[in-house]
Amino acid sequence: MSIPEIEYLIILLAAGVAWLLPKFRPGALSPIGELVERIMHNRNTRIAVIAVWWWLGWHFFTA
Amino acid sequence: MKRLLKGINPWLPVFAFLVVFQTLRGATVDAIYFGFVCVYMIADWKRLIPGGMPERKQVGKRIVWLVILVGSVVLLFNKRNSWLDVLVLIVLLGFAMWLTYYRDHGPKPSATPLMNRTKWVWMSLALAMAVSELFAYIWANVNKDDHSYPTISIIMNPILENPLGRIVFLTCWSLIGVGLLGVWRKPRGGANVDS
Repeated sequence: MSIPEIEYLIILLAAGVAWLLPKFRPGALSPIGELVERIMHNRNTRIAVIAVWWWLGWHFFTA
Repeated sequence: MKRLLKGINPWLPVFAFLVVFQTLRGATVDAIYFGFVCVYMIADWKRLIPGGMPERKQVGKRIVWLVILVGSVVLLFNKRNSWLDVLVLIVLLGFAMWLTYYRDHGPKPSATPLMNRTKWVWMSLALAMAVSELFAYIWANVNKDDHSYPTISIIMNPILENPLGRIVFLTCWSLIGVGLLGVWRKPRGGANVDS
């Protein structure tokens, strides 16, 4: 396994922990849904986030 | 200068950087896309989009399911990069942008320490992923070896060529989109949207 693959794996595992942690220890982190609701409050961020989300789909499906 | 930049979308410089970056790496279509996003942000900032600022759209679950179903069928069963894939993705972009374009209602309530911690954790993870990807891209180009330094695209390509891999990616991508758009989120103090 290459160094970047190890890095991606560690980040994905950490993201999994950050996603699941609020279910078991609510005082440690907020659920991801609440964070998304908060960051999508402003139109500026909404446009930027959706633009990046769509580009990921575009990038992988039309590669 | 301060007056000129008043109300600017703070993400605009980031997307302008992406236009330059994608141009330098020869990804013309990506550069055009990020350029389009910049133009859209400028048009929104300068209030150049006609029709006034609408209220938040209420979309029924059936419509969302229909869009996901049609999009998924096309993206799943077509050869990657076919004209139909491109068409469906462009329609999805229009639909998503239409859903996100609505009036803001006042400033955000101030964040609790818990929310601030959560925000920093996720921002750090996103940044770490972006930096890892960038360094992999740079090392792969410098050493002419994208096997030892694979970018996410290099890893994902064989997975997406496999129908099962494509189903998993498509499901994750669609669900993330629905989650970000918040189309099924219960409005504060109101009932859930249902068609």
